[in-house]
Amino acid sequence: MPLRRPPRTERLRPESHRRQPTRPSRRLRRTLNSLALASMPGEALGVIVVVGLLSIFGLIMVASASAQPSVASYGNSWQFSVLQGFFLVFGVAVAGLVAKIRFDVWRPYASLGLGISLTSLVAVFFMSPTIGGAQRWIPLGIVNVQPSEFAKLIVVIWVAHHVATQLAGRPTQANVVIPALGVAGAFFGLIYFEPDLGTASIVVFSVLAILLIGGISMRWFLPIAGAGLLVGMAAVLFSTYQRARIANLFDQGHHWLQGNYQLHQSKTALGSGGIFGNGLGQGTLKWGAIPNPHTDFIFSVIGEEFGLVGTVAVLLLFMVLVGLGVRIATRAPSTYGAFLAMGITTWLGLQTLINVASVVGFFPVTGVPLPFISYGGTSLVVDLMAAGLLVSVALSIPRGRLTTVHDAPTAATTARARSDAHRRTSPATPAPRGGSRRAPVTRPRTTR
Amino acid sequence: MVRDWLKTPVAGADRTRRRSVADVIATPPEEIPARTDLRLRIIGGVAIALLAILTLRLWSLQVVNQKSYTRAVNANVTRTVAVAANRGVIADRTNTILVGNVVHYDVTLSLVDATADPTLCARLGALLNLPASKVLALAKNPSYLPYQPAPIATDVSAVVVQYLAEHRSDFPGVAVSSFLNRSYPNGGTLGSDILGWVGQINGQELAQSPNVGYLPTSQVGKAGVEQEYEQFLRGASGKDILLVDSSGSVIGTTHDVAPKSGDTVVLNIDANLQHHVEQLLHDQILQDRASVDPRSHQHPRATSGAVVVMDPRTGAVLALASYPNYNLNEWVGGISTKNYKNLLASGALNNYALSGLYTPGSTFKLISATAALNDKLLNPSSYYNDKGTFTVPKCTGKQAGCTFHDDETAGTGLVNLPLAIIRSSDVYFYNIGYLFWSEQGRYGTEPIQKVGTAYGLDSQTGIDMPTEAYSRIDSPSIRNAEHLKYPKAFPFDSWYTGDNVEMAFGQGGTVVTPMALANAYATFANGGTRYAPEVAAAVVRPDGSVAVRYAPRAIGTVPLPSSTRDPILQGLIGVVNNPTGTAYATFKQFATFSPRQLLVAGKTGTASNQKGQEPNSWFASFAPAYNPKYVVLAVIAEGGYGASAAAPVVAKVYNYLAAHPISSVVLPSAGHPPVAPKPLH
Repeated sequence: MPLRRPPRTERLRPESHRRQPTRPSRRLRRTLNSLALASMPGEALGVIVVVGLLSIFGLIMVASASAQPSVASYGNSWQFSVLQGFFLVFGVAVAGLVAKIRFDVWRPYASLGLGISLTSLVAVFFMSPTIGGAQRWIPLGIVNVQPSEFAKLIVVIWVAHHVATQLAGRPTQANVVIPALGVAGAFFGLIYFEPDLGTASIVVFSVLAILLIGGISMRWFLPIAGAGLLVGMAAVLFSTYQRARIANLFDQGHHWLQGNYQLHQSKTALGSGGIFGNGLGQGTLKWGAIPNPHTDFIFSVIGEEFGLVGTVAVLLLFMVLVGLGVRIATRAPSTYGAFLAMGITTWLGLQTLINVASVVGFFPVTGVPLPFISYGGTSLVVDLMAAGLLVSVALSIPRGRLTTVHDAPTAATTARARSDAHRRTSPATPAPRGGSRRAPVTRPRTTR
Repeated sequence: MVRDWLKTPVAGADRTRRRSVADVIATPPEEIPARTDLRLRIIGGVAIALLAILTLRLWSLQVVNQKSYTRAVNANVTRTVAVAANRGVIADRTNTILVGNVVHYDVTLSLVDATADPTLCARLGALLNLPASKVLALAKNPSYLPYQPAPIATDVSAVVVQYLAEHRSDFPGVAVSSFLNRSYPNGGTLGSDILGWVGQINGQELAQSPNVGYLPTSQVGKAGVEQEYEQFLRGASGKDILLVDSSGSVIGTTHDVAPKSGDTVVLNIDANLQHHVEQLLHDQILQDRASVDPRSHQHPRATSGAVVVMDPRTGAVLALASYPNYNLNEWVGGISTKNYKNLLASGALNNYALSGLYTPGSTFKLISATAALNDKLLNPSSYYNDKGTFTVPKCTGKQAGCTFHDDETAGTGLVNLPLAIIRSSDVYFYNIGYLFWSEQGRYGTEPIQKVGTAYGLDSQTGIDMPTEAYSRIDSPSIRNAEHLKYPKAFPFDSWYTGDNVEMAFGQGGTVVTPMALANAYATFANGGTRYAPEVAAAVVRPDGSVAVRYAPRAIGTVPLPSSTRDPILQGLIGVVNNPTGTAYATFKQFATFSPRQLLVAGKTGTASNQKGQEPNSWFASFAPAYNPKYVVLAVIAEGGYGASAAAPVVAKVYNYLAAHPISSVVLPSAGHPPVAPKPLH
């Protein structure tokens, strides 16, 4: 879509502009222009497109998969779809806001947010209704909010802030690592006992990813990773619920009526979809055979209705998202932004991995939603907020040649962009060049 | 601190990363970014690689194994259901249905379907006259998995079934399944003791009989013929493969293995005779309870009673009545624990003809007389003077029971053996008991018991019914064995002359079942062959072919030379037909047939019970006396004199038999299946 910049003249003459009756086409163009898509770094645009595609496809799939559970809960087949649509609109609005505002605006409130998040996670144990054997929700009138979803975002923000702050001062491994691990451990514990092992481990892995790229030494990291592995194994073994799921994982051929039922049905749905699927809305197993077809197992509904084409397309979109996230992290001009981007990317990637792996029978079923696609208000809104933050970080990437959408990158524009970037991002200290020293990451790659 | 942070990474390979960290320290944080790009890319790369592995997995699921999973989906839409077999019919000897089957309909609904549509429970409840909450509670039956249909209503009307069939789309998931229940076209009480009830199979029974076509919901015989002939009646279940849509509603049947119906069991019982006999026994017991015994001046309690009608030529049981009785319909659809306990407590579940043990009294004189004549203890035509009492010679008088009284205080006067039977002279038989005991050296210690055993009175009769009590004749060896086993309850281990005297006329520790005594009289009637009584005559397959035809089963003999049989027969005929006979007046009063039409031979029995209780009333008989076709025996516990309580029943049974002779067994065939009964007369 060739989005043109508004003609210079119009910007210079606001009066005449105001006098003109605004035609819808013009208003649309103005709105689009205000989003400044054209002037946006490619990473930001990429995230918007990928997340947009996933969210819209997700809404369609929720509409397809949720008819039976919706009838079971509300007596009509469209209730979940309408709710999800509402959450999508709300989430996009919030995400747009988050993307527009500079991401470090939230930084001073990181500790406050952490406190609120911890409190809400504790409150869950006292307030939550028990749904499907778990207590994960705080009832707020018309909706149940899931604090563990917010916790992922807040922990990532806080740890990014913490590590970035430490690195800016006089960091020691201990000062950086121990508070981050403390926070990770506290959140893991609270979420694990809801129980929600999937989300709990996503929190821990996101923190570890930030620490890793924050320069944690292997002397610290390896013992931590080892201890984490032990804790993880213990967590699985001490939870009968997870133990049964693990046992099912290794016994997929048998007793499917007792415990492996959902996995068996999920694989059947995927398998019967074949390469091209049965077509949207043509799935049969979502009618009571697959449990939670609109939440945890929506991927198997995608598989049945869109086949391998659909499932691989969704996976590819997530891979692109991860790639974009990594790219944003490497290019972000500030450490905080980079950590934020990395934490969010790890979280979204890992959540996708866990959900899809459990749906295909590679991993015990933990009840983790597929980002942007599964039904769930809190999950969708928080995922979109995270995507907004990612866009916000991406927008901070200095515009190099990537901003020139119309012009093919020539040697001249590339050179100009490079020098631009240098001027803008490192005015105080000249960037070290040449020799064995590696150039700062903000320098646009010449090999593009 | 700075040193510390700097020092920790040491490896040369980490050089670049370390330098970028150094940048962080050297420059303001927001200006110089510090990231370890390598690690970052590794993490991203690993994540993408793992997602790529999932792609491979999806390839294997969706492309390589697509066929098998598509098959699994098809398996989801077909459902194999077991179809219960029709239980076999039980027919009587006239090819009339005694026990049949009736279809009834159950409405089922799974919990998943019940919760899928919140108004469904209310709508279904309105149709079935149940509150919506009750429907939901029934669907929540923990015996069924949430997606398995649970029974909501049993035995619904055909109108409801039709309505549900016509409005299937309004009731998603609601299914109607048909079941077969036992039906008793003659009413649930006719022959209930013979037929027995059916109940749902229990886990143990299911485990004991694998691979015979039982389902967990199968009905199995729990008593009577239903239990004894279970292997023929059960049939074998079949299978239906149903096509169901995603809501679980059946849309078609693709293939089925037809269930195999059970075989028809044909009984020797005659339904009309059975009905008549039950009615007579019932009426007599009620009448008995209302009457006053002229000697004791009390109302007989008449606690229980039984009537046996047999064919002495084959052992075929023509009718078998027991009082109190029960209604088999109580079991249809399951009996409540309360009702079952009440029935159990009332004793109605006992078949008194087979498991009631009664002191035989004077009816036992048949055995004593046979023993005395076979052993030539006395001459049947020599007279003995019955003066009303018998004192054991040389009895010291220290033990109780040196002197025995005749029932008639004045005595029956000069009697020979036939007259002693006709007038029921106890003294005559006291003398036999005494003589046998005093001449042990010649006749052995248990000569009467030996003959009793030959008549089948100290064992089971071998009837084809699941439960039967052991009859027993009192003897020195039994007394000794009981004393050794239970020294407190049986303090005496010695057998005195007085005991032998009592035993000889059917008192003391001797107890027999009505069936055993009837079979003993049948053995005498047919000239000495003891047959096992048979309730079933044949088993006929549904196609009309005969699976089994039960032949008379001879299981013993009693030597009855005419020197033995004739005097006894003369006595038994005289009981009914001689004006001095104990049952003469009764038959004169009740019999509607002439002796020329049907010459009845029989023996009354009045077996003393404990003090204050009326005696057990017996009458054992057979007819026609010289060519016996029927043995009829009646007993009423605590019913009074044999002639006053039991004999009228027998006389009335002969009234029926004289008017409606029993014909031979008619087996059902392909063209003539068992028919529904006409109203009983």
